[in-house]
Amino acid sequence: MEYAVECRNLTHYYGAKKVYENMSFNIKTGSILGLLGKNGTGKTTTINILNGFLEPKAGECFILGENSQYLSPEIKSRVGFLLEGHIQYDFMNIYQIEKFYAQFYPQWKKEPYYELMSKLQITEKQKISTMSCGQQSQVALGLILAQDPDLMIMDDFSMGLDPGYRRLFVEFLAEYGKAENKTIFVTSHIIQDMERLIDDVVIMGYEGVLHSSSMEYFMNHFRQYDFLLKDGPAFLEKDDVVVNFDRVKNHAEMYSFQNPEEVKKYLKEKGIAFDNFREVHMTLEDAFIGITGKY
Amino acid sequence: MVKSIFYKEWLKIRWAFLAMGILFAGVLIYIYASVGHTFRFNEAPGYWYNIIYRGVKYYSFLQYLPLLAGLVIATVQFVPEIQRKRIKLTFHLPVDEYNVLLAMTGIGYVSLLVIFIVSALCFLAAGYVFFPSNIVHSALGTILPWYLLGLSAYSLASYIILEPMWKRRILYILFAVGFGKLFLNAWFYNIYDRVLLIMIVVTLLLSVSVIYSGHRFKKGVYK
Repeated sequence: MEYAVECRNLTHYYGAKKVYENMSFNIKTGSILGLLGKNGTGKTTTINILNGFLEPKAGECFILGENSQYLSPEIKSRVGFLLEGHIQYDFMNIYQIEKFYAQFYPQWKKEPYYELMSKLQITEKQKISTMSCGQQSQVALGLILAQDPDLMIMDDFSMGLDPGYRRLFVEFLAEYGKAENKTIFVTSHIIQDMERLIDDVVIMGYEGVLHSSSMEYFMNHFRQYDFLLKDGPAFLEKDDVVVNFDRVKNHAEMYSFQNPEEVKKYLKEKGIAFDNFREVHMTLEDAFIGITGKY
Repeated sequence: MVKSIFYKEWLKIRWAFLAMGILFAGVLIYIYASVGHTFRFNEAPGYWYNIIYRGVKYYSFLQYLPLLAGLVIATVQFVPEIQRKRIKLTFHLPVDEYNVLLAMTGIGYVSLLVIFIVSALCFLAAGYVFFPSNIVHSALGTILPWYLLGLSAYSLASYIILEPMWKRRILYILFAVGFGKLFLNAWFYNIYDRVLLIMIVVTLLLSVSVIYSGHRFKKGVYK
């Protein structure tokens, strides 16, 4: 199967408020895809549609070949799901929860779960609800590892985690995904986490998908240019060349998928006089802000 | 699957189950201690007259107890599921979602039935010590609707807790209060005898109502 997840022309509204229209994306089997977007752009909506917890107004998603609205128990057993905030049955302790889930999954592997649990500073009968966010994240991750699913869907995995646990989570996931050839779909509001993790990126704005490509393509082709405006228009409108433009006094910031020569040519054609033109190195977070805008 | 679901539900309801069991036992002890006390220290013919001719129910303390038990068991079972939308975990288990819901409510139902049947048997057994059998049997016919209300309250409370919209919840609560009152109008013995069968059927039908609000929750219906 080429794609573990295929979403076609998804459209959803909450009442009159549009979330997105005709959104399509695929996740290649064995790859890690990050869905990035500001709050309210529809990341969790998409996760809910993928898990069959929300019926889109139009369009459809296929998970491991099955329509996400009617997932069979067989397909669900192959999908690991991390709820936003690492929510689990927190009235249980780590032994009770392992015992509970083990009955549902024939391929259950308890060793990686207990290996992870042995690293936590918790007492034997401690309820999950009394653990720290970081410890709870490890319980949720350990349960997914024990399930050994083909596809892992993780909604905002970095929520509530301190930097140490975030790093631990990302490194473990990246290594595990590659070693075991797992397909992973993640969202996170902390963009810097994604840089170490994902192969492909989908960036969502309030109007729908702003960009979708491999991380390599995005980081190599999306560029920030800074220059000083001598005179000319106060603002450049978005078009095929200008993805975003910002200006503070005569200092201009422009984001584009074009190379420096093409951008300079473009500015000259627009009759814009500029000076000190330079390309600025960007992290994924810079690039994310560049493509989605600061507001 | 049922074994695992039972395990999870039992972890949620065990303390409430124990507390309700103790409460029922306490109330039954209180009722029959009062009856014994009255027979021994007060005027027995007057007490007897009140029971036979004025419809005084020596067990009126029991009236709201099954209702309370139904509400408590539904709350401890389903509130943790909707907190932070935790029930998504249950719906993601590799089994049919509606079968899981039915198994969950089935376990709540069985736990209530255990409390109700054991308490009803104790009620009967202790009743025979003090009263002739026809009075004890009519008492059983009178308390049966209260027990049915306990089961209906459990079903309706589960249904309301799982409903995703507050507007609908309030509407359902108003309906449930009106519906519940129908079970509590026993101003005299055996007043419900002719409609008891209908009440049993309605109670059983309500037991599967949780499927509808569970379906709305699962599909993310918010209107």
